[in-house]
This record gives sequence, C-alpha cells and structure tokens, in this order.
Amino acid sequence: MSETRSPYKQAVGLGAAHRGSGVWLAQRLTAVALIPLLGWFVWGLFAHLLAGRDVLIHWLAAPGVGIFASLALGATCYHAYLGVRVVIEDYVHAPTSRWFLLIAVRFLSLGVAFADVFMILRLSMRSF
Amino acid sequence: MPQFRLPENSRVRPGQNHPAVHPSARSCELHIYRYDPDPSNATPRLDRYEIDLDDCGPMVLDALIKIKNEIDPTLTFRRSCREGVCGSCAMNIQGTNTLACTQALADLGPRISVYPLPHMPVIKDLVSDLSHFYAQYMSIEPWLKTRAQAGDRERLQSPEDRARLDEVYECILCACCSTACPSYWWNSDRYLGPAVLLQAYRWLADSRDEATGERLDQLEDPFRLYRCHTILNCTNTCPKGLNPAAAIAAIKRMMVERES
Repeated sequence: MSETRSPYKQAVGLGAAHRGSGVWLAQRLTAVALIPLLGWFVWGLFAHLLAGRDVLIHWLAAPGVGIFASLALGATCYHAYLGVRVVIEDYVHAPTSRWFLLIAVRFLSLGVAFADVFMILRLSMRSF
Repeated sequence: MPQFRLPENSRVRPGQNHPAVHPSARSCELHIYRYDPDPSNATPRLDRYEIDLDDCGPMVLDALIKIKNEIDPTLTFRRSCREGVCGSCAMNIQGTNTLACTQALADLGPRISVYPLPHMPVIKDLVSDLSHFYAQYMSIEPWLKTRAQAGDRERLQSPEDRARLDEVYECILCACCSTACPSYWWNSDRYLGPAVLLQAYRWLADSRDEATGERLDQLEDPFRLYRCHTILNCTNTCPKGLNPAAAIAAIKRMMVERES
C-alpha cells in the first residue's frame, strides 16, 4: 500500500461491493443439500458398480435417479466453485495470477457441471 | 515465486542476555522481541531477562515495567490503565494475544515469550502500528446516527434493548482478536476484522440507531464482512471474554433477513 495515502483512504478502498450475502447463503444451502444428495449418489455408484457396469448404467438411466444425480453433481460443482474461489481470493494476491485462476475455476466448474448433466441426459435417452 | 522464509532483515536472531543480579529460588525468564527502527540496527532480536518473582508484581506488565525501570530502559511498550480497561498493553504473550496487565506471571511457567501483536507493522519493540486498524474502525462510523431531532431529554431505550448491547459494548479495541485472525493476516487491507465488525454490530444492535440499512449496505461485501471463515481465534483470545464471532454471525443473519 502506498505510504502517501491516508490510513482512512486505504481502509475504505474502492468501497463496499454491496453483494456477498447471496453467495454466502448459497454456499451453506448447497452444503446442507449435498449431505443427503452426495451420500446417496456415492452409495448408489458403488453399490451398482459392484453388481456390474450394465447394472450401473441402467440405474443411472432411470429418470428419478437422473434428476437427483444431476442435482448432486450440479450442486457439487457450484459448491466447489464457491469454495475454491474463496481460497484463491484469500491466498493469491498477485493480480494477474488471481484473475487468471478466478476465471479458470469458473470455466472449469461450469464445464464439469455441463459435462455431468450431458452424460446423465445421454444415458437417460439411450434405449436398452 | 512464493516466498516461504521471512526476509533476511525480518528473521529474529538471539539477542542480549540479562541474568538476575541476585539469584532467587523463584525466578522466571522473559524472552522479549526487540526491534529498533534505526536502519543501522534494524534486525529484530530476542532478548532474555531474568527476574525475581518475589520482587515483582503479579502480572506480565509488572515484569515489563520492572525490566524498563531496573534493567533496560530502552525496552519500549504501551501501557496506561494497568487494569484491563484501556487495551494499550495488548501483545502476544506465550503465543496468545492478550493484555499484559491482566495476564498473571504465575500462569505462564518459568519461561515466558513476549512478542508484539502478530502481523502488524512494528514501530519499536512491543509497539505495533495500529493506524490501519483505527482507520477501519473510523470507516464504520461508530457513533449514533439518527434522522429524528433530539428531544429535550435522553433517547430512551427499553431494558431489553439495552441488554442486547451487553457483551458487545465492553470491547476496548485492544486489537487482540483482529491480530489473532488468519483471515485478517492475509486480507487486512479489505477485511474489517473481528474487532471492527463487533463494533459495527454494537451500532446495528442499538435500538436508538436509525441507520441500520445504511450500515448493512456498507458491510455487505465479499471482503469487509464475508472474509470471516468462523475460525474463532477471535473468541478464544479476547481478553475481555467477548465473542466477536457471534457478533459477526448476527450481522450475517441480518443480511439474510433483509433479503428474504
């Protein structure tokens, strides 16, 4: 920080962003939702994988399973995005690296979420 | 490249040794951080002082005053009230931020380490620069704000509303909590820290204050408020036994309440 700026100028900085409570609430709500969703999904994956690959694919292709699996994977990606973003904001202070990582993690989480949902849709529309 | 070691001139080296003049059965040694801003001597060091507990007051501040008066007059620290009210003598004692005037020597064992408040610029020895901390306090406008004209008597408050300020108004702004917070260490340029947020809540919780929405607007920010990750070092270290983490949680609840 510049020593020529007054402490007050440095303290107020660019002012308040007037956002943050929505993100804070979303992080907590997805955390609560993920306890049953992710537990059920991981249990289902392993239980059906043990019975064979075809059994797993049939299980995932069921409409009810597909909806909840999409919710579990989407919420996981969003929750992970919010968490990793906070870690980057906390610890990466070099402006270039910070912006690169913030944009990269946004694209990565969006990409993974779309790929997950696409995979489940594709399985659901497949004829057996 | 990330820097994993302190810069050369910030590494603390062993300093001077001041053994007891008259050896005593009840003595303790204080290892005190020393920093002289003079450029020719600007590397911090850890000086050792041995003092006789039978010839010293019961608190760490008594020992520091004894050292300054009788052993080393160059030792620099802040102190004023000597009874835990002013917050001047906040420092890191035995790894915990606390007030030297209320910390008993007897509770610390025979070897006591004394450092300035962590992660703040050091002016000299145990005196850290709190300009930014005070500027952040000023930024929350810590005074009663009203639109209604003052009447010809005090602004009234019910006993229940007054009770909401208990365990909030007692904060003495010693900065022990803020300087114990890792989130404040990494982002103190933008995060207000537990002490200032506790003070902000003091005005949000005040039934006489009419600027609640305006105050919440100024706090709603991913850094100013939401850098608090409920680490709870603030609550653990507060020498007044207050709970800044609960105050921050209350502000977050108010934020959600006005959105839903």
